[in-house]
Amino acid sequence: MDESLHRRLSVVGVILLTLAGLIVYRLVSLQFGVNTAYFAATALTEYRYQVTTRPPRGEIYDRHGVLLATNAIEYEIGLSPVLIYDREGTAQKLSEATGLPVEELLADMSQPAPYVLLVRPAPAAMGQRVLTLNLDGVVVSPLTRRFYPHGSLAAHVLGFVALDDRGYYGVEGYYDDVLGGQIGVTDQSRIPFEASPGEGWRPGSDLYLTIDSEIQYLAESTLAAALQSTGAESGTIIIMQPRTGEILALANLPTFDPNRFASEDGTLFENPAISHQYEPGSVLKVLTMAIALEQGVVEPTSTYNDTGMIEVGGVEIYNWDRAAHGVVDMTELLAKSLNVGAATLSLKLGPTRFYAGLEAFGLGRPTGVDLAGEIGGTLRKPGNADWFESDLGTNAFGQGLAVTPLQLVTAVAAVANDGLLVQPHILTQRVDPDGGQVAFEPTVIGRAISPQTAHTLAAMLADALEREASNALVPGYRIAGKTGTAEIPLPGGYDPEKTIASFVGFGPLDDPQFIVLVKLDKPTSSRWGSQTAAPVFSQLVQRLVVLMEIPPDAVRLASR
Amino acid sequence: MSSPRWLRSTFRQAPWRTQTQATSLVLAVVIMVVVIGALYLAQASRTATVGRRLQALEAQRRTLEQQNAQLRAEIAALRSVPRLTAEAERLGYHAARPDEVEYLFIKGAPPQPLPTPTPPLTVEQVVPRYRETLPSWLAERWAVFRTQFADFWEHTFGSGGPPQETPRTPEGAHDG
Repeated sequence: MDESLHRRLSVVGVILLTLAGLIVYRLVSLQFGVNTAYFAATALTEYRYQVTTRPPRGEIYDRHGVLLATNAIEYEIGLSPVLIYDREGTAQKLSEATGLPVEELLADMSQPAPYVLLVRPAPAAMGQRVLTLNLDGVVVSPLTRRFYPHGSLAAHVLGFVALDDRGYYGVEGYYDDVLGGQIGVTDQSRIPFEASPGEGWRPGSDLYLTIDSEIQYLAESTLAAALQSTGAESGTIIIMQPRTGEILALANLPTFDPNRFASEDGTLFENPAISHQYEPGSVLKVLTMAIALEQGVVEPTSTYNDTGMIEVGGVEIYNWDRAAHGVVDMTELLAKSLNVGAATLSLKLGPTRFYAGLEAFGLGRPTGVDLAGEIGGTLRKPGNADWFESDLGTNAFGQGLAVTPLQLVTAVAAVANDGLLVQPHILTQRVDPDGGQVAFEPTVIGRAISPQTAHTLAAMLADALEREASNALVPGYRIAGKTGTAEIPLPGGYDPEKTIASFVGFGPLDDPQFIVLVKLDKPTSSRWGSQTAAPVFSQLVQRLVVLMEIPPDAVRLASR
Repeated sequence: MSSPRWLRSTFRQAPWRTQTQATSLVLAVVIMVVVIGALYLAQASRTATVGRRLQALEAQRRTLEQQNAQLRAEIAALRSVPRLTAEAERLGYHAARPDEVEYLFIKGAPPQPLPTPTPPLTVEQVVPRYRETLPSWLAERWAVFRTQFADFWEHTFGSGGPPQETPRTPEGAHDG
């Protein structure tokens, strides 16, 4: 009996040992065999997964720390029908929180789908209401979206963030990489004790702009009123600090609301101040005169005999009033905005000096402003196939060449800034997530004219405004500036009726702290810049000096 | 040289004692395994709890950050210039005109600083000055070529090269 038991136990033991050996063998072969890599990879997919962490986008502030662009929350509300037990009750509560009809919700709950989308995007308040209900089978997922608290204010400066989380146009487009931060992709484990915090992502940096939101609002509201009063179909106002190139305001109308970019007219997204060019007209006489003074061709007291017409390259050039003004000096030339006088100056300069001078003022190339979508304007020169000798005459008073509004402001700002051409810019400071700060300093592009020429020309421009009792004058402040009435080119000629009316001016004359361009497209109340853009300039500057806390000349100079 | 019988007999243990020892050994091993297993389980469950808590805290942090951002956005919307302007006008205020502003001067007060001083001029005058002529350009190129040739000669054959002629500098060529 004992022997039989021992024998049977031995057999069982051998069988068990053999089975155990097979299991061990299988374990070893799985762990170290030829298919180890495959099994390891298969196992990884079972309990590891990738998590993409999209960092919060950096915020955008104005120069005083007013929030211009931030991240807000919306929600996606959906249902998992199989997880809902009390359909009637859930539908009733959900209807009260979302405003959706109970019948519609009940129909959604009857669908065989694993997930039914109800609302996307749902406003933050609605999402919070549904979240607090804590209903089984109701899924509320947060969605981050870009939010512009001021609506359409400075829309062309800011741009927008599209559904792909990328920035387009303006600062959002130009600084997309900086604002967007670094997306993190990390491996996560379903095994709890392998849980680790998400890593590898970095939030975007915050940007502080040169824009002053109050001045921006002033520019936009003034422009809106100007379009209404003049009948212009669109317009631009740029306000800049001439010594630093800081853009205080950049307003275009019509504009758009970046919060609702998807439903806006896509043609409005481009920033006309940097992406659209136009023939500037008589405003360009400022540059023609600057080059002539710089090259010593004329002095402020120099005169010429204005016969009302001059022929350049076979093309007859007339004054705007088609009248002859006799012997006039250079200030009178500017005051009366004489085309014949401007063409006379460019002829005296000759093409080499004239075009070199225009290039020194930055014409024909982008200013380099840190906004997306800038173009460089059009400046044809001798040697170009499409340049004609007559261009030397017409270019002198702003026809036959094209600039962007910002190019023009930058060029004239050199006259206000002792002849130095400063790069316009929109960013003052970048604040990184780790607290590091990078301040952006003004950049001098070059010297366009000497300080003496700049001072002389500024005084001439101020005298010219006062001689003409211009509508641009600002009580209490001495202002330098120039009107422009540009014809609009059409195939084969110019529009006989419609114009682009503009005024560019800076002040106070003894210490320029602002330069303003007002540009009105196709005004109907009058075609002349002196009657449309100039009064808008005056009206705007009267508020601007208050916002910038610039006392009147008499008060300011008396305190020195 | 085997040990004497009486000695082996003395050290031989009773069968019950051998069994007890074997059982004790097995029990000790089992207890050790159980203790080690319990410790491992306790550690693992503690780690798992911390891991889950970490994930929950991360999610909570993300939610709170989103809620903060939402509140900031709402505050910014309430403080927006168009809204405040409309509200001020509704309350009967209007934007100050220059003649309504009185500037007071305080003796000894520091002057209001300018936004940013104009940086020093670092860029050369950009209005081109075409002083270069064809002969001067040729002379400049010849000087550069001679310099390069002299360097090559010295590098290849040592210092005993052909006699050097002081090359004209590009600036000299320009000025000439």
